[in-house]
Amino acid sequence: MFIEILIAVFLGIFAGIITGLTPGIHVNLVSVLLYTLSGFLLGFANPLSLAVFIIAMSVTHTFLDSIPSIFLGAPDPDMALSVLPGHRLLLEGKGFEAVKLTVIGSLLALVATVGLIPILLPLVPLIYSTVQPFMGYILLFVVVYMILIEKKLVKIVYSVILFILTGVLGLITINWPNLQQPLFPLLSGLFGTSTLLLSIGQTSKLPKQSCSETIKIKKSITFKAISAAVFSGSLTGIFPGLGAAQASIIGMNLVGDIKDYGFMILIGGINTVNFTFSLATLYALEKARNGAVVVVSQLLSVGRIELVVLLCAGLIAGGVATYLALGISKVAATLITKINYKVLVISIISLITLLTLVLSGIVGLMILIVSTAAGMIAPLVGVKRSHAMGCLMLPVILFFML
Amino acid sequence: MPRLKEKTLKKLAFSIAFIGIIVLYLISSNIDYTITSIDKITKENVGEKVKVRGMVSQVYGDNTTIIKIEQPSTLDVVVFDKIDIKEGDYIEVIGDVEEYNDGVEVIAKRVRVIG
Repeated sequence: MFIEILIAVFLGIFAGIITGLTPGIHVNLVSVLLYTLSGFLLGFANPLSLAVFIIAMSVTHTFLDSIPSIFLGAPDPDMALSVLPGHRLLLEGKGFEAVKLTVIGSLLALVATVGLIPILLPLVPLIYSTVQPFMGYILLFVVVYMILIEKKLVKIVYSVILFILTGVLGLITINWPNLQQPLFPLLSGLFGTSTLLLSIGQTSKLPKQSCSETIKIKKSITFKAISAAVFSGSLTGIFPGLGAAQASIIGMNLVGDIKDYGFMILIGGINTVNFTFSLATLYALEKARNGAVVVVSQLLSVGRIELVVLLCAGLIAGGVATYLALGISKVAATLITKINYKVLVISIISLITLLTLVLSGIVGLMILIVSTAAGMIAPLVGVKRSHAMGCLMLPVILFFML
Repeated sequence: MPRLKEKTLKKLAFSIAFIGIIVLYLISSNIDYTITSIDKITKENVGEKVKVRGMVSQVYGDNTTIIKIEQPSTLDVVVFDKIDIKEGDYIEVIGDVEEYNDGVEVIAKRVRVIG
């Protein structure tokens, strides 16, 4: 059994490399595919091994998905906000450092979450029942706070308009009938292609990327970022409708100014905590909070031993994925400067467009065009781009309040 | 400003993966079971771990709970604790098969209501 599970972990890591590095392919897609094939696979594998595969794949994905987000500006839905500072760091020649920061966040947050789960598990039902009636108001408060800290009236007005505009866009996109993978064109447009199009005009060549052995970062910033990641990431693991992207907004506003470095650690951490903690929620509340965990819950009922096995799979995957992320991003950092930046950007935009057409069809393409235009508003009027997260925040607020 | 070395990060990652492997190895002996039907559990299985699902047809006992589950074949499940189970619950039991009164019963390690 140990060998079978270990094989499942390494196969999962391999699958996670593919899903993590490929924009548009999410672990939920692969998990659903696996479930479709489970009737056949269970002929020679234990349901626990299949579940371990999914967990290892998902954790690996959370370590590696920062690479396309930072180097290509093509984010996973959960990494949408990382494009902004990630791209900034790339343009400063610190793309590798940006990835390393998200890896630090993912690894430390993984360890912290696994360590805290035994303490937090008994509290999960209490937190859920106490906070859930107020979740909509809490999110609304966070949004209002984010808008008010723009300070200038003109910027506040622009922020409100941007939030509502992207919120309506998000509502339409998410509720569009029979639209596959709606978040891909929505978030790629708002945070990916818009960023890339604006940067073509500003940048002709990427600077040489440094692959430094060390990163200078204050321990207090790392601590704040990890604490915020564990806190807001675990909220996503408990409450339905709350994703890593919304958790980033909450986390960002909890800890104040942690600069780009701290933010990258926060984003990396939230992503991993989101997934890891949802296993605890599955155990404590018997509710699944993301697609991959839904499939796990269909394969087997998660008791204490299964939870420990799945968390061990997560730890092994996290350890291995650290090496993978650092190695792959070093290669990416070397290769990316050898390519003409404009050609690279146009290729990435073409790739995103093609993926959108394949995954979401013509409607997806329309959404990509509209969201790209909407995504340009914030930098052009001088407000925070994170207001464009109205695309996910507004639907979630309405979900909780109505 | 403090510097975080890549070597340190890699050492941490290695340690975490290693701990995961060790813990997995240690508990792997407790996870070797598949779902069994009640009519397949016989005296030959005494001492083995099993996982069984079925409908609760009877519950009694104070500090020790005895549960009869049906599939339709019945099986006695013993829980050395008071637990919140009622007739009609669909439960999953993981435990060890023991011989009792010329038959078999399962001493439960874990009981979960699944429906």
